[in-house]
Order: sequence, then structure tokens, then C-alpha cells
Amino acid sequence: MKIDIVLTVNDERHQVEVEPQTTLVEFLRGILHLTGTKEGCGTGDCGACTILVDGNPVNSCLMLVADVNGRQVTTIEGLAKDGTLHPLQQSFIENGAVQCGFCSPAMILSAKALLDRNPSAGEDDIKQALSGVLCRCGSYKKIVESVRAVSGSEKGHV
Amino acid sequence: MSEMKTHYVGARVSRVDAHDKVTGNAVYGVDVDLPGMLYGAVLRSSLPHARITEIDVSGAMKAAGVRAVVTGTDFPFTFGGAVKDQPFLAIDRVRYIGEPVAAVAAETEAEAQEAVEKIRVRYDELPAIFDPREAVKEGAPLIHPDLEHYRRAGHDIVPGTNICTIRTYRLGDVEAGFAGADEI
Repeated sequence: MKIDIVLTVNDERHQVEVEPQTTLVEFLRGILHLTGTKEGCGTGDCGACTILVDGNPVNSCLMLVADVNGRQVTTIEGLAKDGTLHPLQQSFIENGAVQCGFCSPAMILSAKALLDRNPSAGEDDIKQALSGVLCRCGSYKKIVESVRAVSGSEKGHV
Repeated sequence: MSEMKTHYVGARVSRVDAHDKVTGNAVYGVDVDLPGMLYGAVLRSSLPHARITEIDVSGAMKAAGVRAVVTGTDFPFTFGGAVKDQPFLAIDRVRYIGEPVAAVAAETEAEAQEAVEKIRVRYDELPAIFDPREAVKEGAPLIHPDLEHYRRAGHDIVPGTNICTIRTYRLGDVEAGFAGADEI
């Protein structure tokens, strides 16, 4: 017994019929084939599934598609415009913040949400904003430096 | 002495895959989506040490979307480093909680998970050991009773025990060192 959902993903409107228990991460990855969003734990603990809903970072594994009816979703695939990388993406590359890369989309989106409301966020605010995403490679230091490079709060190369 | 020219030493070089990773384009194993692809689910042991007396896969074989169910006897080979003691799926006994016992391949992930729960395994529990110091004691339950017949990479097992190999590292005269030390 499917339900009708209308949502915008990366500025593209989608009108879909889904099983009501479909989670947002299952929908993004399995139905829209946007695999940039990762499911690390499925229980809201690792943050790898972080995407933005109306600009706010959320764990997509804990949301149903039904929860975002009528709302705007941004995934990592929506950041680069016409091949031009978002400054955060560029900074991650240049500042060595990427190892295995599994947390990178979630870290970048979490940082974007922060800088969109606080463009010159300092180290403490950055760490707080990224605290919902785990990095098993231990790239935290470089990740924070990459975000600081964009926010202008020293360190890293812009 | 001529000046050495360096092109890469000391240069800032970006990871070759960083661009794909920050854009979400990088394909990880779990991202692969091929036409007609099947999904696997594994049934694991809930006991630390037990003999497997029966595995009933009939429920899983009949489940929706299931294309194959496999158990240890379908592929009775062992692999390993120093000693080749580990089967792909447990064959006649399980030796740790979580050891894979059976696997299902089905058309969707949900169908594979549902089917794996329909497999029934009967176990005869055996005494378990949770400390390597207990494992080397005389009379400890043998985890691999057949250890001396396992293929191994040139290491000497000790037959009739749980000991995989004995290595001794010795350098210098420890007693003399201790005798001359201010503090140990």
C-alpha cells in the first residue's frame, strides 16, 4: 500500500510512490541512485547518512521519506554547480581531509549547514557542528582545518 | 655535487580520488548496482563453542526471492595465515559467537534478511574458553581437536593442545641487566 510523496532533491522536484516504511537514506540511495549519501550504521550513531533538509543537517537513516513530503533535500551531489566544486569540497581536497572518504559527504554537508548560517565560524563552532559525524580514519584535524580555511578562521589553504 | 631536482618530493599533491569522494561520485562496494544482482545475508552463531548437529534450510529455500542457500559443507575448505583453520562457513562446529553458519542469496536485501531468519540450526554446546591463558593450560577444551592435520605455513603447532605456534625472542642477558639496575 504505497503513499504519494512530493519532494525536492538538489533543486529537482520528484513526485513518487513509495512504501510508507521507506527511510530517506534507502530512498536516496536505492530509488534515486544518489549513492553519495552513505549508510554506516542505520541507527543514527555514525552520521555518515547526514544530508540537509531545508538546510538543516539530519540523519537520513532515521527519517522516512514521508517525513520530507513538501521539503527540500540537499545531498552531496547537489553541492557542485556545473562542475565547479563548492569551496568546502575544494578545501577538503587541498587540505588533505579525505582518506577513505566515507565520512566526507556528511562532514562537508554538516560544515555547509554551519557556514551558511555562520560564515566565519571558529574552531569550536566547527567542531560542535561536525560532532555528529564519525571518522574512522581519524581525519578530524584536517577536516576541521579544511573548514577553517573556508570560514577564514586561519589554517589550511583556500 | 650537482643539485638534485625534485618534482614530487615536497610538492603538494592531491589524492587522485579526492575529487570523486567529495562529490559523492566515488563507488564503494555497497554502491555497486548491477542488473540482476543478488543480495546476501548471513546467519551467525549465537554460541561461543558448539557442535552443529543439524541445519534445516528448507524454510529459507521456500522464502520469497531466494535463489540460493549455502552452508559449510557446500564449500568445506579452510583458510588462514600461520594455520589454515578457518572455514568460510562453519562446517561441523562453531568456535565463536558470530561465526558464519549459513548464507542466503536473494533478489532484494529485505528478502535475504527475511530468509536467513528462517534457517533452523541445532547445536550441542561445548565448554568455551575466553582467555588465552586458560586455553594453554593442560586439560583445556580443544578448539581444534584435529589441529595437527591442518595445512600450515611452516609453523609448528603443538599437537593435542590449543597452541598454534611457539616463538621465543631472546636478546642479551636479562639477569645481569636486572642485577645491575637501580630499579626494575
